[in-house]
This record gives sequence, C-alpha cells and structure tokens, in this order.
Amino acid sequence: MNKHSSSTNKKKILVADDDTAILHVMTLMLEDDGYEVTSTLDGETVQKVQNELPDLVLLDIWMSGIDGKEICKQLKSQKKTKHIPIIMISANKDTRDIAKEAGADDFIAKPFEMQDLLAKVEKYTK
Amino acid sequence: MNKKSTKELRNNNQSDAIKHAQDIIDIVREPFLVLNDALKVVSANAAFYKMYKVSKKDTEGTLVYKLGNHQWDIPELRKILEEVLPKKERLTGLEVTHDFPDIGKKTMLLNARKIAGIELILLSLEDITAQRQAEEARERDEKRFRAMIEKSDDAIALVNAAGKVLYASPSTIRVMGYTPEEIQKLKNPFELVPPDERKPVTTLFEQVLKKRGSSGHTTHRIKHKNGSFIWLESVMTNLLFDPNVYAVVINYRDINKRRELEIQKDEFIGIASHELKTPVTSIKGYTQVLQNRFRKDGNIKAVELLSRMDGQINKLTSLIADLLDSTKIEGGKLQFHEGYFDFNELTTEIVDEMRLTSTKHTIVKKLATTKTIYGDRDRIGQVITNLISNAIKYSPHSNKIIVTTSEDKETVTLCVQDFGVGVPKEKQDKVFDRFFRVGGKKRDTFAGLGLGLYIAGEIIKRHSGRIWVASDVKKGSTFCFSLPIKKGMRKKQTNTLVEEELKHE
Repeated sequence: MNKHSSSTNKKKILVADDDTAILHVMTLMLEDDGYEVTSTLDGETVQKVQNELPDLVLLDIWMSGIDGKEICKQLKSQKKTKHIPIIMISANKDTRDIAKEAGADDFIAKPFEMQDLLAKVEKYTK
Repeated sequence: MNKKSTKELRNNNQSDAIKHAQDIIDIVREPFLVLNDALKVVSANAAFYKMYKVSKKDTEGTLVYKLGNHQWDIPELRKILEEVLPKKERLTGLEVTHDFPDIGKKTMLLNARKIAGIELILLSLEDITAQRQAEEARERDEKRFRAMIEKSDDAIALVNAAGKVLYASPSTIRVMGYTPEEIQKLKNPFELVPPDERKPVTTLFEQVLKKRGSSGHTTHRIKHKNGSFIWLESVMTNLLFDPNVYAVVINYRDINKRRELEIQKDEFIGIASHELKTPVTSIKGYTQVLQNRFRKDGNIKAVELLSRMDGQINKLTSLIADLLDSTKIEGGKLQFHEGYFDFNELTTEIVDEMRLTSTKHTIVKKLATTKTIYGDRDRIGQVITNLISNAIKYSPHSNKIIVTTSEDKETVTLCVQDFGVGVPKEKQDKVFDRFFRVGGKKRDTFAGLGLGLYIAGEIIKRHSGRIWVASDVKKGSTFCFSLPIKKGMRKKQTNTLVEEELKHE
C-alpha cells in the first residue's frame, strides 16, 4: 500500500509541535502514507539536527518557549540544513507572512485537511 | 376768608398739600406710607394695607417701627429714616430684605423723600419679592447648568461652522489635558486627532453642519497634551440655528476604560478561539486518519459516519474562525493578501463547493462578468461562501438559490438571491452589524453567532466595495456586493454614524 516500498527508501519527516495530540495525529497521517516520522515537542531538538538529516521539516510557528520562526531562519542559514524543505504550521492564518519572512518553503493552517497536508509533503519530498 | 394770616395761609397750604399727597398716594399701586417727623404713620395707602396685611386702625398714628407688632423694626429702615434722610432729603432704590413673622420674607425697594416745609416723609415700599425670587431662581438655574457643564466628566465645546472653538468647558483639562483657553486657540478641535485618523471626524462634522438639529457620533483617538493617545467618543449636535446657542455642540467623552475593556474582551476571544483550534485540529486529524483506515478496510458505513463527523468539525472550525476574524476586525488587525484573480473562476469554485454540501438546494449560476479583479481572493471567497450559506440557511422551505455576477465599467457585482424568510425592512440596515441575529420568537430557529454578515461587510468595505440587501418578508432576500475593478486603496476602518435629525422646537 505504501508508496515507499522498502524502509530504507522511506522519506524522513521531522515534525515539531508543542501539542502532543497534534504531534501524534500528524505522525499517524504521515506513517499511514509511508513516511518515516520523527516527532518532537521541543523546538531545540530541531535546531540540533546534525546527523540523519530529515527530508522535510514540519514546524509549528508558535512552539511554546521557542519561536518557530527563529528555528526556521537558523536552519535556512546553515549550509548543512538550508536545502531541507520546511513547511510551517500554525493556527493563525495571518502567519503566512511570517512563514515567508522566515524563509519557509510553504505554510499550512490549523485545522487542516489531511489531503492538503499530504499533498504538500509529497510536493516537497519528490 | 380773603384776609388770612400768613400762618393760616401756611396751614391751609399745608393741609392742601397733605390732601394732595394723600390723593396721589391712594391712586398709586405701590405700597406707600406718609410719616410725620416723629416717624409716626400719618397715613398709608390701600396697597400698603393689602400688601403688608395690617389694618388702618393699627397703622395710623403708630410709630413706624411698631407696625404689625414691631415687625417693622428693621435696622435698615431705622438707618434710612434716622441717619440718611435727615441729611440727604431723599433716598431712592434701596433694597431691603426682611423676614416678617406674619407675611414671610419680603424684598422691598424703598424710596423715601422728605417734603420740606411740611415735615412729612413719603415712603414707598415696593414689593419686589417675586421679581427677586425669579431672578434668584434664574441665577440658580444658570449656576446649576453651568455646574452641570463645568463639573461634567464630558468635555464640552461650542464651535462655529468653521470649526473654531467659541467655548470649551473646564473638563477639557481632565479629558484632553489642555485648558479651555488652549482649546480655544486651536484652529479647530480636530487638530488634536492624529492626521491619518482625522477624516472620519471632519466628515462627520461636515455632515452634521448640513442639517439643522442633526447629531452624530464617532469614536476616535486624540493626542493628549501629555503625548499619549487616548480614545474619545465625540457627539456633535448642530444648534447653529438655535438663537440661544448659535453653535455646534461637541461632547467629548473619555472612553479609554471602555476601550480597554473592549480590547481585553477581543483579546480574550482571540486567545480562546486560538486555544480551541488546537484540540479541533487533532480531532479533525484523528477523524480523517480513521476515515482513511476504514476506507482501506472497505468499511463504507464507517467512512460515511466519519465524513459526517468531519463536516461537523468543519462547522465548528468556521465558528471559531468567525470569532477570530471579528476580533481582528475590531482590533484593526485583519490582514489581506491581495493579488489579481478571476472573479468568475472564484465564484464557480465556491458554487461547486457549496453544491457538494447542500443536497436540498439547487444553486443556479448566472455569471456575466469576465473580469480579473484585485483583492484578497480567500477573503472575497469567504464573503461569497457566507452569502450562499446564509441563503441556504434562511430558505428552509424553498430550494432554489440564484448566484448572479455582472459588471460595468468600474465594478463587478455579485448577487445571491433566495426565496426564503426574508428580512423585514426595519432590520435591513442592521444585518451587517456585529452580533446582529434574526430576532423575535423564531430566534432559535436560525442558529449563529451574528458575525457572518458583519465580517462579510467589513471585508467588502476594506476592499472599497459596497454590500447591500434587498428583501421582502416571506418572499426572500437578495444580498449583493460590488467591488472596484481597479486596484483601489484599502479603506481605513471607521466607526461613524450620522443619526436622525433631532426634534427641536
């Protein structure tokens, strides 16, 4: 059923959000669709990605304690990580501009349609 | 009789004079006393007896101070009669107020004159109590009204048609930080409004000027003398034709507290709706994951149920979005992402979408325009969705909805027509107000927050467009909006309202 037949071929997605339920359900969506998912509640983990770079980062804009926008800017400024596509997620529609400013590749507003999320993830991991 | 002594002659003259005086005194309407040099009453006129309620018997031959059982022992009178008159011969217009035990407090205007040769004193005692009381009442009234204005929390200014301040009340210090004198020195009071926000205020003033007695209010900011910006509500009333005023009266009310509370409330709604979105997001996510898994397993019944659940979650999402949008509008924080888009394409997209959600209603498209317009595609789409879903909601007993687009040189127009319950004439102005809901007994029949059309109205206004309704009760409603084709400046939000003409005598 999965589009990525062998586990080694699976695209790796890093999901960062400060809500456990959202993190869980996004993981389910992506895993059901054949992705390998690493999830974290802590924004700093994202900043520290060095080994096993993900193929895509799904990043909540308002991670409590740390600003998703800053994480995004940082990843996009580093040589090693700047090629990784980042999709920012937020409950605030108007943060579309913030996502753009932070250098994110795309943006998705909560609550979202599963289809929209999967379509965007697919688009950036092709 | 023709040969009389000088003395006799004098006596005769004297008695003639007294008689003469008596005649005059009697016809005069003012109370009058004639006193001899011992200050005893020689005579009094009818007016005196009437006014001061004493009898002739008790009066004539009595020492003036002893009149009415010593009621007339008035210090001022003693002074006049004993000190002033002997030297000056006459005295006019002296006002004396005395509390008479029998007749109460009286104010008298005394005129006295000594008649030389016959040693008599004429004393008129005009009762001016009523006059004085009226004057005092007038004065009290004026003081009261002045106090009302001067001690009022509101600052009040009278301005002429050019906007020049003719009067400013002392409360301007409390409200604006400027003394009334400083306010009067301004070219006009609107100078205190930040330049970018001045237009709605001056526009209101011009509108009020146009019509006698008309009144309008607006809320706006001004720069306080201390440099901070404060919120005021201004009420302007045109009394230029009123001969007692000859001015436009402007009331300034400090509404900072109210404004703070409103902001707090809107912030709270903003936070609350944002918080609500988080669990809604995961519920929606789980629903769709389940739906997907049941689909893979071929459980169509479960898929259908979950699809209904997802529809309800979408309703919840749109309620939350409306709450959030309305607070953003109030806070002036509604953002637009503008660009060029095909108006018909958007309309078609939304009509198709709505056809999926409404099984009962047939949505007929009559699209004439082909224009590309400039604006926020999502927000305009939101307006169209709102109008169509309202048409569905308010026509439970009919099944047709017509969506029309048209254009002229400058604008494109979209109308949504239904054949439902309609809006009564008197409520048609209010349907675009925040929190307006269809009232009356049927209130519960149509659920909603009363925000949809308010948000739609604000979105259209901010695109320099126009939104309106034509409706007949039980026949249906047509809601339309038009947008300029040319890229236009977005309008600032304003809160002005010109009220009906005041009734003025």
